Amino acid sequence: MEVALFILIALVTVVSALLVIIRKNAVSSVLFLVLTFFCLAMLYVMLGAQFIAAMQVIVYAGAIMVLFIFVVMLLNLGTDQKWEITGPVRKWMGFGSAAGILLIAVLAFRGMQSPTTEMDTSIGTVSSIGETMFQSYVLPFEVASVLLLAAIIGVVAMISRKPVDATTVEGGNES
Amino acid sequence: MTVGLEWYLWLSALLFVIGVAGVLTRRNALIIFMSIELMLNAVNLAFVAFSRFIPNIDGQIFVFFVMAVAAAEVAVGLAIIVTIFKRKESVDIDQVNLMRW
Amino acid sequence: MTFNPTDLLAIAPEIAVLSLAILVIMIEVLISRSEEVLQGITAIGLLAVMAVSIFVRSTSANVFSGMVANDDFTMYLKVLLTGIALLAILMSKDYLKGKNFRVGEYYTLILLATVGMMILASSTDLVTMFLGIETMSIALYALAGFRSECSKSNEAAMKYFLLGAFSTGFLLYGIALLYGATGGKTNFADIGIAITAFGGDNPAPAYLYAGIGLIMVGLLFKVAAVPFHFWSPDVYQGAPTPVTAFMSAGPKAAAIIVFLRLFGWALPDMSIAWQPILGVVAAVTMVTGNIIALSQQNIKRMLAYSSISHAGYLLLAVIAAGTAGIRSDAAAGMLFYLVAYYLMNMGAFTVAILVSRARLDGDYQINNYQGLAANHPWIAGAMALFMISLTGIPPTAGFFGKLYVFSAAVKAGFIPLVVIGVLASAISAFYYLRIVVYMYMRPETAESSKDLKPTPAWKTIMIVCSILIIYLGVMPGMMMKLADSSSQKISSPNRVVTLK
Repeated sequence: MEVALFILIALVTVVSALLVIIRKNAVSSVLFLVLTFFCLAMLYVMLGAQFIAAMQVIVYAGAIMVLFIFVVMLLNLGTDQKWEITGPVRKWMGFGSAAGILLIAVLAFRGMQSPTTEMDTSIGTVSSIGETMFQSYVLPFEVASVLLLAAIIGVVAMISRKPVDATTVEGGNES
Repeated sequence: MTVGLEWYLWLSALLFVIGVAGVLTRRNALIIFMSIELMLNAVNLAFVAFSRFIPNIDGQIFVFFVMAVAAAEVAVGLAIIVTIFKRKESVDIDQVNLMRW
Repeated sequence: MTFNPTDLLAIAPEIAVLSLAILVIMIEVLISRSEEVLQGITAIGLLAVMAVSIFVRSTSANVFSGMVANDDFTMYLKVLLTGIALLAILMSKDYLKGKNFRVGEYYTLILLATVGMMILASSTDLVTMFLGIETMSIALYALAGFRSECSKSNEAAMKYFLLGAFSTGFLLYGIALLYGATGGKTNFADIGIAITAFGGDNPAPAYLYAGIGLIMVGLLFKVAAVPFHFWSPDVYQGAPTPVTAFMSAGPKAAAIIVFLRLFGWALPDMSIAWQPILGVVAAVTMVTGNIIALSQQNIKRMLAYSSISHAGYLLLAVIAAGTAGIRSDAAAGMLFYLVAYYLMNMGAFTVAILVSRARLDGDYQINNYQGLAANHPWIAGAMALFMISLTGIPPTAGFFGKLYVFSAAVKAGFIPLVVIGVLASAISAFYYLRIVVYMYMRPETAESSKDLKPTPAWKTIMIVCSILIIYLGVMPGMMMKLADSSSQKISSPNRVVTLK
């Protein structure tokens, strides 16, 4: 039962991931990426990581992908893009390097024995993650907040222009 | 037969490779960026799988931080892409090549 | 382990820089948009942070459950990183003048990037390493694209961002594999212990090697080593010049230090596997960087390739750190080298800004240096000193930096690599000294006779850098003693296991 479920989810994940990089239309790429993320959330549940599964749906499939779709619509890229068809050289180089990495993965995981540990259901809960987060991981947690601050200020600085005084206009386009 | 650690690692490796292939073969900056997100998700799957089979909670904490970083990166990355689109009317990375190597 | 308030003392410099960043942005919003005020506050604040870093000490060896190191070595690094930010900020004001920049955000982002670098340089855990790298990078992506009206700057931001995020993917996959292979360890010291347990009947899993390789790729990207250097010349050229100066010194220093910590302190038992690979990368980096730099006509690109080759010299120290007994020598050499590199690079970029500003097109062509010595003997003299120091000719700081790094590598038995390094330095003499030749031996042109109008801030940077380069070149003893004594006892705290 578990095996069948895993194979089913894994198939959907891989196929939709492939469609993300194959489709010419950015909107359908985004939607297939959302599907991939949902499948991953199901796998996280199978692995007993309830909290991470919930975060995956809320943060990734929800917030992050909404941003993506928003930008795709904003930039009006919702149709097939002709220039997206890449030349054969790049295609072969790209798939060649990807195949190389896959080969490394094959060598790395070949003949691997799975440990037969029982699932520890207390690991993935909100309370255990919360306890660990605010005890040993309190510093990284705070650093993450600095990171978000940097991201906010960076975006504001790049997107918005300084209120222009008549005296400082120079060079650049003011259209 | 049960689903072991290696099953998840194989799936994660496959997703990672698909992401890499997407980055290397596409020209649309947005789709390249989505492929990068795919790579990060492959990593998250590996973390959660290790965390289940070791068993140890640190992997899941790491996934939490990866998600926080991914959210920040998306904000900055989309801002950069929008700025460049305003100027060039295009998100084709081949159009954005003023400087030689 | 529960939170211990005295642990805060160990990250006092980070807290101070962060508070300064918030203060600057608040002042910009509420009180004054004046460039002078904001720059003054930032500069004075950073001087205060230096004092904090030197005087505020925590004696506890194990802070924040082993997430960051707390020792003299880390403290000197924090002083160095603050110094890098300070010079970058001094360089910025007159550069920003007349440009349509948001000054407050600009200073704040430099400060936030500095916080990230400090966390990165002091990290002893994969989590803090990852978050440090990302905090630094996200601030730098935005800084690279700060001239939003300029296509080159946009392009630089885009390239830096896409390639940076791509390399983050590799770094993270490596971290995941390392985490799995060591049975759930993320702390550097714990990883070291877990790896010693492998061997004999209990061989290391193959994916441990893959993980180490992927982490290496991610970090080599951040230090811009060949073949992961493609972003660097474009980003250096496109970014605002003070940001370029900051980028060439700060992130490189922070990333190479974490490289040293991770590979020297957590993975020395795997050195048979990574030393040869890193050796090849270092050799290729030194040679390629210097050879491509020969053909550059733009001084920012030339300095970018020069900074690539310097990453190669620094990698020699990382390689040497993998050999037992050489670890602290390598760390001391690296600390000295980073200080020297910081001074000469910041100085060179300051002169580059000065010279380019006098040109009508504001371009950074090397031809602009023709005959500079006739009208501006002092500026030309300072530039010549920076170039000589970058080449590594005595009596300058650059010479001793190279000497200490190379001698650590010789002690560790990497003589062929050191020979390549010396030959590469000889190649580098061609392009560094070409600028000196241009300045002193070419006739001056109409362009170069223009007044460069150095402002007090730029004069200060040039004077401070020149004096320190000569001081470290003539009397390296004191700095070397500091570097030596601090790297004797680099702490690598264990993770305190929380049992529920």
